[in-house]
Amino acid sequence: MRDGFVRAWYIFYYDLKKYYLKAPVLSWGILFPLTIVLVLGTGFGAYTYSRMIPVGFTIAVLFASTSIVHVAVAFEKMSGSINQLLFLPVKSWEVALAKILGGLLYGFIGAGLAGGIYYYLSHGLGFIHPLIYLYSLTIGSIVFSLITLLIVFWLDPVPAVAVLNIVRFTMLFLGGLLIPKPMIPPIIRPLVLFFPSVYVNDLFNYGLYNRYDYVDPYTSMIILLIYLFTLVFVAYRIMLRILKP
Amino acid sequence: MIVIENVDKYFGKFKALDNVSFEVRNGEIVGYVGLNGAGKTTTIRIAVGVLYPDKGDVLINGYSITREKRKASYHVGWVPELPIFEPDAKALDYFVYLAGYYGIPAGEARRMGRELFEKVGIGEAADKKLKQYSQGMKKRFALAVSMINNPDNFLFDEVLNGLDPEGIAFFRKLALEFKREGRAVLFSSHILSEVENLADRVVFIHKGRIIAVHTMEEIKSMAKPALRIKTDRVDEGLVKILGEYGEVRVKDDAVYLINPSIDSSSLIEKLSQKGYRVEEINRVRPSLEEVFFKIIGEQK
Repeated sequence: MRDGFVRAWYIFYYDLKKYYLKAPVLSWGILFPLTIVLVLGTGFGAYTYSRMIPVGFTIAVLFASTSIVHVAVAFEKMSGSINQLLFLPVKSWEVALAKILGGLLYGFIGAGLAGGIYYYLSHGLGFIHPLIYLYSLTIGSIVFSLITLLIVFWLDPVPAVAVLNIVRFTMLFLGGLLIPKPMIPPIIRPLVLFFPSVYVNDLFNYGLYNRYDYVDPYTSMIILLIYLFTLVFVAYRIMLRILKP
Repeated sequence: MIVIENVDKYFGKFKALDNVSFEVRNGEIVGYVGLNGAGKTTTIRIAVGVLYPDKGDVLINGYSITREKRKASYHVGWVPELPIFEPDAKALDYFVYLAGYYGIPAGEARRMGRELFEKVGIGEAADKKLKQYSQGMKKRFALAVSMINNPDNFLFDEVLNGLDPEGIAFFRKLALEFKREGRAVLFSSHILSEVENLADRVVFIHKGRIIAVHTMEEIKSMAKPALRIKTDRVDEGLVKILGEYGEVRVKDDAVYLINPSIDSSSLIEKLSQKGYRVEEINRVRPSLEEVFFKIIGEQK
């Protein structure tokens, strides 16, 4: 098991050198979410800090983690070099773990940059429940990475981008982020609860401001864990079955 | 030793492999032949752990490639038909990176890399980027990579495709060296004459099913003897005369009389009497190609 983690770290470290400055990662993973973060930040007059800042964090984490995982797998699938990786004495879960580590790191980077901007704009940033915030950041990054891993292993690289964007933008509008809860028609609200972004955002909200929109923090934590284990299982099965010559 | 056991593989609804089973023993070279799309590459990719079978398993030195992937991978080398590596990486740096998976420290891997690069004939290109490599050089690089862990088993997938005669001769020599060292070698190839030169046994696959496994001796005994005849002209009259003594095939500028019921000197005499001048006549060795098409033809 320990060897497995060492190998995953080895793949992750090499990915770091290869992919972390690729254009799609920088544009979709950093620039786009930071633009949204800035738009939200400059709208502080219209909305309250407590409404906008958690949303900005969630969007930054969502786009940062999904972008790096997408690029790190899609580039290797497109070039065919992933076959060389799978041939080596590594197991599928070690490859998957390496890619998720990338998503986790980028989730932290995205959150760090968003945090920096909000700290500057709001002249300070406090954490009422820092551990809850950290939990949301960690599990959220992993869940978003797993969703991406599932899509990018299942589909060819080009359709994977389209599907990933559909998922990300649906979360943006229907996942409890850009459209505030009171503006969502009651008939659609149960659908909103399907998206993990709701729980990540509620936990950020709770971690920063001791409040939440949809679900109490402990239920959110459990639901995110259920998402995580389900996605681990599904992504692993897909990796085994879908890899084609 | 490589043991392929009852392997099935589906791509969607298409069954690419249907209960494929055969083995490659230590110190043996096995040729794997079949038409395009027969399932050769899929079998090899499953055997090296790049693809997952829907049923069955592959044992490498007794280790299951599906259940004990890491242990099995330590004992197998693979040269794919089109080796693809990181194009922007320098060959030696990439070799060192890959060697890391086998637990080889960077310094030792660098020294080993230079040695192996010399052995496979790309010593001078060690510091070049892989995108500057030709297809033949990439195959040599893939071969060096496949030898990182000094495995007992090698799988070469259409390794001779795109190689110049020197490259083909190099691979032939190396495969024989592996055999002498007691390693198991499985190689698929379209170049049947090379399979014939190298293989101890040949496995025939057609539409995902193994249709025959024969030793080279068996193949030679299966192929009918033939006379290759070159005359001053080839026309219908000649074919008609020869047809009385066996099956006739015209190929290039010669006529082949398969399983002749007449000896060479009598045939020359008969043809001279009918006005044909025989320029050359010789008994030809039965070829793998002939057996291959016969076996495939029986399946059709």
